[in-house]
Amino acid sequence: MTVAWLTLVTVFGIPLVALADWGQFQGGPTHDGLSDGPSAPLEVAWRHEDITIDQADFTGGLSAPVVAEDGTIVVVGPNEVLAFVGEDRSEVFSVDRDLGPSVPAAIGEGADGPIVVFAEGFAGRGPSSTSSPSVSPSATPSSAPVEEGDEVDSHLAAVDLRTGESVWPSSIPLDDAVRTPVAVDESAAYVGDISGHVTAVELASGEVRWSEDLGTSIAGAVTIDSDRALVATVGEQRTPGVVVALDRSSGEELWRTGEDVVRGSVVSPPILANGRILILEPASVVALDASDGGLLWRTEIVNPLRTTPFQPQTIVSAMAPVSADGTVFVVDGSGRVYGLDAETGIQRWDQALNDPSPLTPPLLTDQHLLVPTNSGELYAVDPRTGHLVYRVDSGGLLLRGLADAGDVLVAVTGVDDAGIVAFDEDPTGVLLDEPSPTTFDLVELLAGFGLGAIPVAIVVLALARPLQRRLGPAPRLTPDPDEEAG
Amino acid sequence: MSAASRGARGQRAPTRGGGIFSRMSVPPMDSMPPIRTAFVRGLAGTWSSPVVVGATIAWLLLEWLFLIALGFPGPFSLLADIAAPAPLSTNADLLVSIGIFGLARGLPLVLITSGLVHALWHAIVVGLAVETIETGRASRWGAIRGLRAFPISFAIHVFGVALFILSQIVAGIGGGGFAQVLPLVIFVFGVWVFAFAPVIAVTEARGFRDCLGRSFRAARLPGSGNLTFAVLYVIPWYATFAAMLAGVTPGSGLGVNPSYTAWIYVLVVSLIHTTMIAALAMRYLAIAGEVPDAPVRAAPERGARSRGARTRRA
Repeated sequence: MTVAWLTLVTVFGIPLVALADWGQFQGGPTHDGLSDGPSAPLEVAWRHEDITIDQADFTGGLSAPVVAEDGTIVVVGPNEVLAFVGEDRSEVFSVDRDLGPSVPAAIGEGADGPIVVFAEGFAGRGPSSTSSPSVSPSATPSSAPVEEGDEVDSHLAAVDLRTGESVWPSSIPLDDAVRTPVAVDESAAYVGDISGHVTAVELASGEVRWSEDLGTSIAGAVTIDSDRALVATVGEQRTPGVVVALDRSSGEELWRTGEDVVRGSVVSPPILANGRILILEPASVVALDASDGGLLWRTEIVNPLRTTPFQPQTIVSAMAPVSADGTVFVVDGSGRVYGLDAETGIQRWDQALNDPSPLTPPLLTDQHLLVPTNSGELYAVDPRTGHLVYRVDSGGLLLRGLADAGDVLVAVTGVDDAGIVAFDEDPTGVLLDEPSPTTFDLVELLAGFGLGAIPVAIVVLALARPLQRRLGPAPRLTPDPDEEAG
Repeated sequence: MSAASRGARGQRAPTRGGGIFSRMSVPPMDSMPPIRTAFVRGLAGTWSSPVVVGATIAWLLLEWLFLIALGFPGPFSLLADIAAPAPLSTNADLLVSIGIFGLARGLPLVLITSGLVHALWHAIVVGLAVETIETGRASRWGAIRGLRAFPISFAIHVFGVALFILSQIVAGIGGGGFAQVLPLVIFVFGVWVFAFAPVIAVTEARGFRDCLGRSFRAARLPGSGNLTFAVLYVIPWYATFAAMLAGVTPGSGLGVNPSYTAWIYVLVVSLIHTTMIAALAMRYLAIAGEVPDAPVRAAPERGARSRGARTRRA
């Protein structure tokens, strides 16, 4: 396919956007978040704000985008699945879906070409069954269990990428609502639900390959590693989560992490990188041996601004580590970026962006780690030094879901006021080289002290001393012992 | 009758108990300086003292360098509250400890790390503030005298942690607007009940339990306006606290090289806390003679008549 496209590019001058390949959460089936797309300096190439969605408050607005090989951008809204041509933002299709959390879809290979697989429905946990219609970035479906016998309104569906028409005979009923991204490999789609079921569905036929119940809510997208499907569960109040390896073809459990490996909730999907499985606990990054789930290392992330630096997956947020070249990168909710040694977990550097980023994982290009933030700024960090090298304003808030769309990077912004923004390389941009503000600099510290504290002290003394003289001594406040004796 | 039990105009202070809020509608005490007067006196006394201002700057700089050496990444603006009475300083205690040792170790260690250090600084500030009120100037002897208040200051920091955690738990259960209001109520309660205790320790050299009890009884004196004082102190503080958490105040982000605006903010807020402590000292010293002594339990005697009997110290 790639050779064919390169031929077309060479012969007909078709833009490189045709080589985009970000068909699911964090790129591919291992969700590694690696991109060979543009890097800093970046500028906003275009913004697509002509998107009207309803009921965004309790569904999360638009999902993180996924991008097909031909550059088609697919986002999931509360009541619809939308596909756009990346070049001119013209609509390819808009397909109705049952109201439900706006979780990212996945693009896979169906019987007659590429298809879009998406989850729909609230399974009785939606606005009709919850008392609070208000929406926040942390909004999440009710965790009340679905009663047996209730009609379950949660499905997995698929449409043709080119036409938007249904490709399966019927949508696949699921056991509960889905708030984690759909994952695909070359033959199946995988999805986990709030009550802990994982279901594999044949892409070509829409038949259920297998379904397994893992007990507690699924923490993130299912990760595919050769013949295994890796699934992390959140756990419960007194029961830590687990990472489970399932046989990809049968769903049979191959192994699960031991009792002491995961110590709390798991709040990310299991990310596969260089033979390691990386997961996030609320205050730790954990590396596991990909062959058997054994513990390699655990690093506590300490941040006084966020006592639990990583927050659980919700219908809007999805945090995840990325890793390459011997370094594991994580971004906590406060927007502090950490570079950890992939072998030992020891922290090499940090970069405090001081711009919250609790909703989305970073993206790692060949040159930079790109961090979207709630303010709408996109930051580029040097993966070797941790220095900030660039920042660009997207023009919207709650920037999230950065995806490689070939010659541009795309992301979504806003919730009610949803939009899609694209970044491309800025030929006039100049890279920065700013160390983290958490790096000690005696000159800078003394300059701040000298310009701030000393003048204030002088002014305070100069103003208060005349006042003190004018007021005179304070009246006697305690009884005079002599007077008292008399 | 001792001076301690006589009012400023020679009248015996009322001693009968009631509900905690049962005496709010009585006329103001003649002997209690108005809040504005106490604040102005406290401000003039502490802000005009090179010792107080210099000690505040020096402590902030030294503590910050020490925290950086231990790996604390900020925010610097937490130091604005370390001179405040607990539980207003408790958030700083907790976050400094957690920021150095992590959540798992920092939370249990808070009392023997930042709590201990900040209790020491608070005791010194109380000593200096009391001296400025008593003599119009502060000296190193005021700071040394303030060390008398260290045990009680540390105890209040312990109570502060308990109150802070309690407020978080109850607010979490309540949710919504309740979650916003309840911590405020708990902070007001903590300041109202405990704020006099270090002043009592410095000026009267009383025992630990006596300081706490006397602080509570002084706070409840009818017509003293102490609850109003606590409310007027806590509400603006809470606004700055919320602003700091929202990242609005200077120095509220992570970083170890504070800007000049962050230094200005932290120093000014620190000096305002010092002013409030001096105002509290002035208000306590003005009514110290009217605070009733603690009721004492009679020695156990044989017979049912004496069981549970109470008497008051003569």
